[in-house]
Amino acid sequence: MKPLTAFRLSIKNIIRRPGRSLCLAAVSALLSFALAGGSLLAECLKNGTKSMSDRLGADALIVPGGYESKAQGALLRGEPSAFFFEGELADRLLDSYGIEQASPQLFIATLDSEHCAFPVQMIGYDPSTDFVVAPWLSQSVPGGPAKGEVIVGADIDGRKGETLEFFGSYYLVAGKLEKTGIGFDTTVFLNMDQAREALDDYAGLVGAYIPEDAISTIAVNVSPAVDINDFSRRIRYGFREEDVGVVLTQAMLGNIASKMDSLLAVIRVITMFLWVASIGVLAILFSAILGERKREFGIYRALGASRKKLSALVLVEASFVSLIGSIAGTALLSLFYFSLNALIGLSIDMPYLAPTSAGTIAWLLGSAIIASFLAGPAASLFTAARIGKMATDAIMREGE
Amino acid sequence: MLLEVKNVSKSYKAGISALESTSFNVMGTFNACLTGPSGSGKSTLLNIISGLLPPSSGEVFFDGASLATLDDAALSRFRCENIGCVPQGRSMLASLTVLENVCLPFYLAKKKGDPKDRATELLALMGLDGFSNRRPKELSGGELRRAAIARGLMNQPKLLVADEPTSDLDPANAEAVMALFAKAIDAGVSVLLATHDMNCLKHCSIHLTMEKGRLLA
Repeated sequence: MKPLTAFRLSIKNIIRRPGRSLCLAAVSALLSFALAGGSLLAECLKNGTKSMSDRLGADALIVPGGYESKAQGALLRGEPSAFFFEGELADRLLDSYGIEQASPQLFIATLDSEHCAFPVQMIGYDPSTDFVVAPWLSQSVPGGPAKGEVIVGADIDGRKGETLEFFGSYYLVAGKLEKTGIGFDTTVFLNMDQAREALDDYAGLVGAYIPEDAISTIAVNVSPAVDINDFSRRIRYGFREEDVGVVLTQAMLGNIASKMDSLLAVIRVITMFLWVASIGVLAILFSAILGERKREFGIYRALGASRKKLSALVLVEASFVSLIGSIAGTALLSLFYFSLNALIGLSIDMPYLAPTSAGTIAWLLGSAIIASFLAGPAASLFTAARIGKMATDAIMREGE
Repeated sequence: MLLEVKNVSKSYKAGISALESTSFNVMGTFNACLTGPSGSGKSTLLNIISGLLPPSSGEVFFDGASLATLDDAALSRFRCENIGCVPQGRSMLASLTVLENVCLPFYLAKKKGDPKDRATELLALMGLDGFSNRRPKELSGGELRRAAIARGLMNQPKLLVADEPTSDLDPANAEAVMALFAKAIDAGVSVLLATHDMNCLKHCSIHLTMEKGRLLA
């Protein structure tokens, strides 16, 4: 016969009252779900901002006036956009005061039609001048994509060596990029010469007029001596008739960082509140259960259980139920997170990134399990202390 | 002297006096019945003798040792080893089987070994062969009471204390339960019962009567 230890007695009691046990475990599960969700979300947002900062290594993007938000949407969320400058205007912009580095890019939106594999953002860049994506793309394909080749983002449905059709032409996938969590994950990169051919195909298919030597953006780094806001004002004023817009990446990142800071503060407050509230709810539940179980505890006492033993029974039971609930809640969150992370990113209108390593995820989930698990025994401490102090005859009589 | 109750009183915070200066002592193996109307203090006296309830004043000596000198852990150990308890009403724990219920005092006393054989033997003695793996809800009132007596005898106590052991039993079952107490006495265990059932008196060697917290005789 297996010894009737405090652990075994607690398990037997948990099994005997599945409804009550489930109710207690559900509170712990909700708590761990919220804690794990909150910390994962916070981590993802932090990584998202860092990734953007790493990838958008330019001070500003000069875009056609009115297309600032389209450019941001394409870069941050991969929303396919196509917009163009006159080639001549681009040349004049490149000569602007204060520019230290500049490189043109071509943004083309592939089509949801039989001529394209799928609608995504296509970005053409000039490997000879680019300082934004070229170093990163070279890690995947040294020297960047050659003629007839593309490099695809992590979420593009195409593997290295496969071909993809865009605007009726076929492109060899020369490499696939690591996940970034921003719009680059659903972007197809190609060199500028290849992009111009794609642009001709695009114009032919949509029947639109595209200016010769058109470009979509100019990524610029300004001289250290030049104030970026002053540069932006000068560009907008100097080219007011041509209607030019400027996207300041630091402002864009700052805006996101500010949003993120507010969101993180809210997440922290909510998780703290949930933790305290859960302890309160569990304490009330344990206290109510104590009333229901006075008779049982009285019998234990009459049979020779010490007050310490009764407290141990309450604590072990609370700990076990809390542990089960915490694991279940975290497991549910993991399922939810891994299947719906893209949707979460869209719903909060912010770039989203999975934590960089399995270790980080494990650490966050483990922490959530521990924090929510501790709520159970913490909440039962009051009940455990009360049951120990109660006079035995009171326990027995009230339970009758 | 096995049991000595010396000027024991018990009053509660609300000023209610449940027991007033009660004294008695018994020697050797005995079978005592404590009778009296409801609220006369029978259960309070039983709980004080069992070490479950501290008296407001006075002292209880068991086998020459004062219970007042023991802390909770020592008192609990003392109860485990010396006093078997048959609580009032249905007292078998629903989460355990009948066998586990009977073995529980063994584990609470932190004894070494496997109590299964003794528990099975006690259940057989109580006429509950084959009931080991049943749940308490599957047993009748009489069977439950007999199982509770088996549990009370598990640690071979010197004293078995039973509160209203025949209260909700039919005459045949009540008689069977009293016969089991007689068996316990034969085995050298003293028995102290609190009861309303005057039929129990014929089995007792000592009859104590209580009224309004006082011991009359």
